[in-house]
Formats: sequence, C-alpha cells, structure tokens
Amino acid sequence: MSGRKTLLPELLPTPRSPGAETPRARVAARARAMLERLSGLKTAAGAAVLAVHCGYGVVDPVPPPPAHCTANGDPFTGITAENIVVTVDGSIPDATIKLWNYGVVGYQVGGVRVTAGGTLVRVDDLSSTGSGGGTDIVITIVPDGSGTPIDFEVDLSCGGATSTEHYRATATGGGDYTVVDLG
Amino acid sequence: MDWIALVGPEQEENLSLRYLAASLIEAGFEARIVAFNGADDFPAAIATIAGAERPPLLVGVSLAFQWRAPDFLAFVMGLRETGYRGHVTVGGHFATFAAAELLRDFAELDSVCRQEAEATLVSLCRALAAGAAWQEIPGVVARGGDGAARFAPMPEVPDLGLLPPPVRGEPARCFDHGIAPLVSSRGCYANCTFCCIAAWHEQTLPGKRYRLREPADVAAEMAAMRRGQGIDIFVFHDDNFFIPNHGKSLARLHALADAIEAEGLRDFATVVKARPGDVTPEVFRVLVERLGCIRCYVGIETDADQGLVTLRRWGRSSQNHRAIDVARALGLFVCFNILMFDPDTTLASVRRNLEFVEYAADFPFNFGRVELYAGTPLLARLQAEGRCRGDYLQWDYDLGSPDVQRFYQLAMACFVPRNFGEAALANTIQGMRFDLEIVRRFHPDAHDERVYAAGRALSRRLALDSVATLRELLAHVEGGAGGDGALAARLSARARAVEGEVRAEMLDLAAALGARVGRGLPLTYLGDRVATPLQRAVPPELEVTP
Repeated sequence: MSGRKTLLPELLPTPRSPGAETPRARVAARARAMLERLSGLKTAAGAAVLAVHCGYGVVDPVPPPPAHCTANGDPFTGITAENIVVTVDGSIPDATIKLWNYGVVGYQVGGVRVTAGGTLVRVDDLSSTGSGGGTDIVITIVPDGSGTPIDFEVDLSCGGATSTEHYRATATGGGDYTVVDLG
Repeated sequence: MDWIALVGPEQEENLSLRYLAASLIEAGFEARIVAFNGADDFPAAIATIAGAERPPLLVGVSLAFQWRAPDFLAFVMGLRETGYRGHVTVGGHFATFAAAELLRDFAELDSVCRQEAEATLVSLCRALAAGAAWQEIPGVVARGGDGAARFAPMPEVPDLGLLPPPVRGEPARCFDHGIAPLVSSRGCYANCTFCCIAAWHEQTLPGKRYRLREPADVAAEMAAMRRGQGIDIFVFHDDNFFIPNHGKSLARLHALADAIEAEGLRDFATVVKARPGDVTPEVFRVLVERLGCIRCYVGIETDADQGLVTLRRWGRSSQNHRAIDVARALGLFVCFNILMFDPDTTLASVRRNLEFVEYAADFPFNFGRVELYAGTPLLARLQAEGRCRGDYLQWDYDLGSPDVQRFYQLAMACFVPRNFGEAALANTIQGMRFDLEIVRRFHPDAHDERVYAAGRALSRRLALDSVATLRELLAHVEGGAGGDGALAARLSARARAVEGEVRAEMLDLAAALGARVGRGLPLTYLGDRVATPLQRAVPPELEVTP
C-alpha cells in the first residue's frame, strides 16, 4: 500500500445528485458490486473468506465463484464485440459495447482503457453461469463529441492466459456504432 | 492481546486513524490500520479482517468525508456479509453529525464515536474486552431499547500535549524524499457557513475550539519522523496553521523554527494551508526562510463580494489579491480552489471570480460547487428555505437563478474530467508544480530556470484555458440562444484536446526532472498511478442534452 501513498491536493468533490433510492438501498448496491468483485477475484484470500462464511443476509446473496475458463488453445478468439444500445432522440449516444461469448464463462476483466475518442463510464460484468449462461461484459463509453472513432483496450484473463484486446467503435449515424476487433 | 481494526482512506498517512491507533496501543491493544481508498482495496481490506486468524475485538471505520461515506458503509455491509460479528463503530465529522440517521438505517453499525475520539475509543474497547456496558461512555451514540439513537454526553477534547504521537508507516515519496503529515494544532476559529470542520469544533463549546501544541513538541515529533521514517517534507494539516493575529503568528513561527533548530533538523521543507488574511509579507517571509515552506494552499474559495458574504469568509477581495501578490514576491508556490457556485451565485459573481483566476493564473487552481455537508449552517439554511433535494448521504440543490443553474450544468458537462478525482489534470498538475519545488529546494544542481518556467507556463496555460472556456459558456448563457448540448460537446472536445497536450508536456517535464535528479519518482507519476478511468467519467446527471 505504501507505493500508492501520495501528497493529495485539496480535492473538490464531484457534484452529484442523490439517487431515487433510499440511502440504505444505494449503499447496498455498492456493497453488492464490491462483493461480486471479490467473488470474481479467485484470490486465495477472497475464496477463503467467501467459502467460510455464508450470507449474513444484509446484501443479496453472494454469487458463486466463476466457473473454470475455457481450455481452448486461444481462449480469446471466441469473443464477439458489438454495440447494443442505439439512441434516436438526437442526443450524442454513449457507446455501449458488449463483449460476449455464450457458453464460455470465466473471463476476468483486469482493466479497460479508452485511448482515443471518449471517456470510460463503467464496466459491468453481467456474465452468468448455469444453463444458458455465458460471458457478458458491457462497457459504456461517452464519446468526446469530436466524431473520431473510439479506441479502447481491454485486459482479459482466462485461467492462466492473459491478453489485451484492442477495439475501435465508429459511429455510423443514427446513434449506432460499428465495433471492430483490432486484435 | 485483543486487536482493533481501523479502516479509512490512506492515500496519505491517515492522521486521525493513526492518532487513534497510538492511543489504543498505549492502552495495551494491538491496532492495525486497514487502508480502504476505494473498491480496489476491498478484497485486501476484507481479507485483513475476515481472513484474520482471530477476529478483531472492534472495527472502527472513518466517516470523516460525507462524499465517501457510501463507500465505507458499503464496506461495513460487505464485512458483515462475510460473517464478522464483532463490534463496528464509526467516527469522524460526518458520523458525528449524522449519528442518528446512520444508526437508524444501518443495522450493521453498533455505535458511533462522536468528536475527537481517542479517549472514547479506548474506553469502548476496554468495556467490550471486559464484557461491560459501554453505552454511557462519553462520546458514544448507541441504540436505545426503542431502536432510536441515544447520545451519551460529549467527550472532553483531549489535551494535545498528552496524546501519544501518531503511529507511522511507510511514507509517500517524491524523488525519494519522504513526505508525511502532522498537525501543530486542532480546531478552527472561523465559522464559514459551508464548512463542517468549523461546525464540528463549534459542538465542543464552551471548551476551546482551537488548541495549539507546544512548538517544542512539534519540533520533537518532526525530528523523530526524520530519524524513524526519513521524512524531509512535513505536511501540516492544521485547519488553521496561523493564529488570527499577525504578531502572535509571527512569534509562533519563530518559536517553531527555533525549536526545530534546537533539534538539529536541517534540510527540510514544509507544506501548509492558510486563510487569505494570514498571508502578510512579514509572516510569510519567516514561513519561507525559516520553516522552508515550498507549498501553501490558500483558501481563497471566492473573490466575489456576494460569495464572501454567503460563505461567511470573514475576508475581503483585497486580502485575496494581497495573498497572491505576497506569494509572487516570495517565489512561493501556492494553489487555491474557487467555489464558483454557491446557493446565491450570480453571473456577476462568476465574472468576478474569473477575473481573479486570471489575475492569479500563474498558480494552479480548481473550481467547483459548494456542497451541502452535515452540520453546516448552509445546509440548515437551505433546508429552511426548502431548497434541498436528496438525503443525508447526498444533498443537492438548484442554484439561485435559471441562468446560473444552466451555466453550472454547462460548466460541469465540460469540466468534470478536468476538475474532479485524483486523476483530474487540475489536481495532477499541482503534483508537477510540487516536483519543480522539490528540485529547486533539494537539488539545486538539477534545477534549471528554463524548466521551472516551462512548468509554470504549463499550469498557467491550463488555468487560462479554463477561464476562456467558462467565459464562452457565460456569453452563451447571457446571449440566450439554445444549442447547449452542441456547445458543451464542442467545448468538451476542445478541453480534452488541451488537457491531452498539457498532460503530455507535464509527463515529459516530469521525466526530464527525474533524469536530472537521478533518484526516486516525481509526484506527477504518483498522481497518475493512483487514479482510475472512472474518476474521469462525467456523472449521468451532469450530462447536458441539446
């Protein structure tokens, strides 16, 4: 932790509006997200903590740890990237990119970086296990308004394999984007 | 031996937790600081507590900052989810003011420790260890039989001369020079309407709301920090480092400098905060020449007459300008924030503040909105006026007129990535300026006036770009035309482009400084490293549509 200590400037808080939910519901949503993240880490510490203790009942039940990733020689070739949300009200749409691979679960997202054309808003791992499950990672990016393509890269791991996948999302009009896997 | 987990932010050494830890250790407990700077730290923080060989007797969580309270409450929920059944208490400014609401809404919490809690926490831990009643310990808030909060009496404020010094860990470093915080006082004599620190100390009345440590004690702590952790740069986090009397302030600075000399401490630097009225040539010459000050945050907050009244700053525009003039004359790096938006802001106030930023553009600045914090007079006022939306975790309000509100939303649509979060350029560029000062102070052989001037020009460019963009937005609002979304998109794109250029030059400059110094890393890199992409994202509610 010491490597991350710094001299903080006098930070101003980002102005925010409260959500419509109650304070407890908002906090629970944060807790749930952090616990899901912990369950997905598969670290010895995380696994031990979650294996020993069953739900306290405060937050939604902790999801099961992810299944083992595919044993394919190149586990990253089966991932498809596409834009999934189109806005038609005339506003500048977010690029909402889904990375999916139905039937295969266990990919871990180590990081997402937007290198040109926009700002990363959020990454949601909606992957599910069981019948009909699969990889479902949704990345939301706000375009910078310049009209240039959005370039972003995703750090993925699958079992012991790791890869950084590069993508380009180009607005095609009408609020849609075409997503190309750059390798 | 029972152990106590103290959870809080640790981007810097967390002095409040480390003072508490020192008191617990003195009382015979083991205390461990558990860093929780954000969601990334959740696994390690949870593992430290839930994965420990035996659970801690008590988990104490810092709720000093209202805007970070949801993160820490979520941590507590997560901790309970993993099965921790011990006592959880929260403390700090926000917890003190929101104790009743927190205990009402979060069954995961057992108690709240109000105010400065060294004695309260030690007594609470002793009672828990002995299986004794703890609900009446001064400072404790607990649930009564009906579930409602029951407040034990306020604790007495501690005698600063009797507190054990805060425990220390691995310090931050800039070019391998150790950096660590300390305080030479606690409390605040001012009464700004927006500030929960002033409101917090007001609670302790009729006790002293502003207490000073003896200069010899402060100097001894500094010398110990040099010996123990190799600290060269001492960051004073006092809410009021200066006394509101220039003669007494001058005498105290001389006394501290004399005591430091007596300790044999040489080749050090200091960082302090000041109110504009503190900044006089006489006081600041001593601050720079005898106490080695290399950075001073000056609490300008606003230069508009309206803002000075609304925020109850007890100051004048002329003092703001004098502070800048004095810093310039002494060659001292200062930085400041402007609370551009408050509940009474007018477009004329905005113009006045932009003129001030332009006047002081050679110093890094940032701007934002006055947020409504628990316990503050401003929150009480807006609640009485029926202007607040939201709840105790996050209050929101509309500005004083539709035009100002529109200008604010346009400004946020363009400036969130620049202004907010540790990765925001308005913050990281202060790290670059700090690097320049470290080199000038500690590495005169590596100091180059041309590089120094280039760094200053870079922060000036960013400041003036912010002013120019805000003036375009202001003209647009005053002109009454539509097309807000298109304008925000165009100016945002331009702002991001400028930031890209400035950031690239800043990193080049940091690399050049690093090469010249030949040891450690510049703070510029640290600022970038601790940040995440999400910190640059614009909250959905601040996006502007056409």
